[in-house]
Amino acid sequence: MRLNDVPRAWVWVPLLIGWLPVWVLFTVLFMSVHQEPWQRAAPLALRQMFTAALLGLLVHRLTLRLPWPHPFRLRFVAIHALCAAGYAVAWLLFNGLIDSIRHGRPVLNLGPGAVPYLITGVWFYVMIAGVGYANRTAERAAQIAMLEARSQLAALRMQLQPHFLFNALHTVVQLIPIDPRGAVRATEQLAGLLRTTIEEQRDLVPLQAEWAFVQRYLAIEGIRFGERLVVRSDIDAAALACKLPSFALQTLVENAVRHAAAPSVEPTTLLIAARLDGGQLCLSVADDGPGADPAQLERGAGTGLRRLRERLAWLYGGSARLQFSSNAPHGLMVELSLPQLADDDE
Amino acid sequence: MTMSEDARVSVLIVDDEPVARAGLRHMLAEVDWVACIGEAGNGLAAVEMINRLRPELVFLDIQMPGLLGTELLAHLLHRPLVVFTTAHAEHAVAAFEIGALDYLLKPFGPERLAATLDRVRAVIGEPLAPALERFGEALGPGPISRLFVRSGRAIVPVPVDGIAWIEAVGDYLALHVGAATHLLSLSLNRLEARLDPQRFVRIHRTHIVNLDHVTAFRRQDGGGLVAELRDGTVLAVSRSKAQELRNWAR
Repeated sequence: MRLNDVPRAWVWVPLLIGWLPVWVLFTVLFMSVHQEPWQRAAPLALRQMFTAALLGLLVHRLTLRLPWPHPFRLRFVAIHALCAAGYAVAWLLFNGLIDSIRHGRPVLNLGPGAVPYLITGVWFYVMIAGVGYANRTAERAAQIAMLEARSQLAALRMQLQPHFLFNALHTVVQLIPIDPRGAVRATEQLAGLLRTTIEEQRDLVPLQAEWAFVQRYLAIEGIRFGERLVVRSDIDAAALACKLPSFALQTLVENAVRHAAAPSVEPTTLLIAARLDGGQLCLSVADDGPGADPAQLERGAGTGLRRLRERLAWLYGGSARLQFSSNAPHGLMVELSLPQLADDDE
Repeated sequence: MTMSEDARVSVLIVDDEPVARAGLRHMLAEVDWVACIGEAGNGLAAVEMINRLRPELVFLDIQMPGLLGTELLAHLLHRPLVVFTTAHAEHAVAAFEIGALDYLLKPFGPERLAATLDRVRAVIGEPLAPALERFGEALGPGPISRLFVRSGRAIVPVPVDGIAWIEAVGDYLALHVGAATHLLSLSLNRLEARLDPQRFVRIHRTHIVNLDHVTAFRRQDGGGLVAELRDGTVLAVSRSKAQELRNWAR
């Protein structure tokens, strides 16, 4: 998906093409405003483009490190304002350095004056950062389209893993002669799960829908595990309208069932909580199973969690948080907090 | 016909899912020649119960808390026949490598279970379902412990220990067990090959006798040898077999 399949040298071609009109523009500017002949204006503009572009690489790096936040944050603007000022000053000094080297003595040619000079630097910064984020957005749209396609299959795989689907089917088959009504109920629950898994197209769903899905899943696991699985929930009614990525809570709950309840001989209690806190939807799934090393989970986790983390990054930029901690006296606690977007993207 | 409790094949069910255990127990209840003697819900409990109850057959789930079904076998003092039950197809090769009799992929119902039970019968008894003839031969020389006799729609297990003698009658065999006689569609040669030769001796073209039930071999006035059984039956011994027996007696 990245530029891996394009030869590296070709990456510079659009960059050069992008700077070419800027060079022409500045040459014309120097000729008309400062009455410079083109023989002097063109190399001067070229030197200034060169320094601006070289420093621009750092700006480009910054746009990679600092993703566009969803929702928008003032902090983001503040960081860029600071960096823009820094860029303008650095550009000015860099040009001075080159002039000094050319003349063999310290020279700081401020041309039209320090303020217009610095404003031009800020203008360069905004242009470079803007192109960077535009690229990110295009890349992100492509990535989301790909992730969506993959997550449909992945969601299928996630929910339909043999350990779950075949065991659930076995439960239904075994219930038929023993408890026909129970078998019908379990079949309906399973069908509901499969239908949601196959038909869910949305990236973000209301917690209400996700919770209904998770409850159906837990109903089937409840039949399978019997007394070994105890589920308690504390879902704040105010949080039910909040949006979250589809199957996000399911991933956390399924993880707890697979890694805490399944390997435990003794009953395992899951505590699933959701609340709205300062514009953030806070979800948590805690278990009292054998537990795991939170640091290790932060570094690398199973496919379900990894896919969730990828989706969070693309849907929320850096604004969503997925955290692991140990649950006293033993077990694991996973917390997911998601900023709530204004409800207009329906 | 009544069946003594201990003639049935004893079965232990090991699965961490209560519904899976209940379902299997329910299906096995329909099979009259097996007796379910217990259930275990995890690997550690299973090891304890198998060592204590010594079942002949264990239905063993693989993915279980405590101990995986495949790991559990290493801890057994008593080695029963093992049928794995699991939703995971990928363990099948390993399961057969460690000597599983069969591998039931969940979900399964009574029909698939019946095929497994045919295999169980093939290992511990005769006769075999036609599809299992070759399977039975592959099992090697291990003597069988039971014969499975049809009675109406039921299959009745008959422990070989209780059989006094076996008589070929046309295409059938008559098993003489106490006062009862069971008919079985099987050749005397085939049955002889699968019985313990230390106890079951072919004394005649048409007779096999259980030495545990013989009180004496006696020479008759006419020079022929007869076997006298506990229940008073007197059976003729063929001349060639009489010679073999005399060699034994030395």
